[in-house]
Amino acid sequence: MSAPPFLSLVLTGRNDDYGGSFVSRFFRVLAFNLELLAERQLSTEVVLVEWCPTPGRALLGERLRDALPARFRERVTTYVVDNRYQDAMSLNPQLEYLEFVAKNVGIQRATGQYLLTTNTDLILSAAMGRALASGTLQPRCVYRANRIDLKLGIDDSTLHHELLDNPDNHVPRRPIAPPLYAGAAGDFTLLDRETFHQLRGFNEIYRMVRIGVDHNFLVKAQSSGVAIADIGPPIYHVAHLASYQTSKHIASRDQAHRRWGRVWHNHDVIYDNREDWGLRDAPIERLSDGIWKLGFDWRAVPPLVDLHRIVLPGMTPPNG
Amino acid sequence: MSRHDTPARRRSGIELLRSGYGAAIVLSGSSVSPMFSGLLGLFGLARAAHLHAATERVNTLKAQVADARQRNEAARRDATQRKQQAAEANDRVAAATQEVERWKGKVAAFRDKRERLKQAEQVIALTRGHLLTMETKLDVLEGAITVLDRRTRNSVDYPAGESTGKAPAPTTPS
Repeated sequence: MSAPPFLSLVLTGRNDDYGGSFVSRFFRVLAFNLELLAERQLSTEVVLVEWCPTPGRALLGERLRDALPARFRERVTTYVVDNRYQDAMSLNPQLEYLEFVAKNVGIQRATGQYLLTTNTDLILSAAMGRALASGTLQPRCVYRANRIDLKLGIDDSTLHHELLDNPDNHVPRRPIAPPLYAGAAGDFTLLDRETFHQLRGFNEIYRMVRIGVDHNFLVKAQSSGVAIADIGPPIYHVAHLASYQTSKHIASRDQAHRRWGRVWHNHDVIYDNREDWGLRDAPIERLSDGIWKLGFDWRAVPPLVDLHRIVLPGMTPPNG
Repeated sequence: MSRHDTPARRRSGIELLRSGYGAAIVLSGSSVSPMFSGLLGLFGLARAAHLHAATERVNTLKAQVADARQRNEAARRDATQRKQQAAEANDRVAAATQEVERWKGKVAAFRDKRERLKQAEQVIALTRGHLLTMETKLDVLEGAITVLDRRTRNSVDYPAGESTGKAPAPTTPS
């Protein structure tokens, strides 16, 4: 049995052309990030959660395996989640993707010493590679990073550090600030695996939204005595039409509710996930090399309503 | 030569002086021997120089007494004034002490109010937290009801003739 990797990249996505040319962008970004981490000799695994794949389309995991350079293929494990989980778990029929439940599936199964939950279009900077390899990461500390948006329409067909680090290509954005270092937290949440498990991942009690769940995790971490820090170097994000930052201004109210859900009390009210968070008890079967299927079983589905698990920060949560 | 045997005195000869308790003849001269002085003493007489010296001493003592009386008077006045000042100062201290006590009372009252405000703020924060928690729980309940409603509608298939949207039959009073 090989030693667990230092870092697990936890990602979620599906082959649905989200944001246009999703798949090609994802593959390009992932290959770039893996190359950067390999240069720093960081042992890395990729945990991809393919949440409720679009029927009739090839699996994203399969396409990824075919597209990635051979040296990276064995580092990727894909968990394909049965489509029925979306309907069984959602508390908002308009919402199409339970992103943070999907990420919890990955966090529950990742084996790395540190887990970086991020998104498929987030690019690590060279400085970030150095920071991750510096040996200075501490357990019980959520590391956050400033996200730099690259200008919409920039040619990102070939990624390289000169393109990313050039300030002319950046869109100004308010920097993250203490105490929570919040702001697009879903793009970069780095924490040791043990603490991630102690906190039981992201909120999967309030399964009604996609926005603010990352912020809510920071509130929970802070109220649980876990430190939060800015890791220093930035990450890059190539703007696209479907990204929240771009489309929140142009989407209709109905569209916004469907994509992200409505505004909620994510700064004030936290959660205490059940012990079987992240579909822990879902039956699993191997589809092919590195691709696993989480089959549907009602026993793996948390109850629709679990009100005593909605708590205030600082209040003693119930035992799992 | 003693300081009383001035040339003027030597020239003055015998002077007669009357003291407070009897007459005395005073002789003045530089050549009076101690034996003569003793002899004069037998007759109740004294040398003029001695008389002068005694008079001077008396005058000096009188002046000193007057001066002492004056000083005593001044000291008495001063003491009276100081007593008055002390009494005034005592009054002021008493008033200031009273003021301090009054302010102490006010400060204690302010502290008490501040403490109660803090407690009220904590209660408000906690109440607000509970309110937000309740709203969040209501969100979840609403979501669950919506989901269950949808599931019910999808699972229950009514035959075409059994529309539930029919208006109820009018009721007539019996």
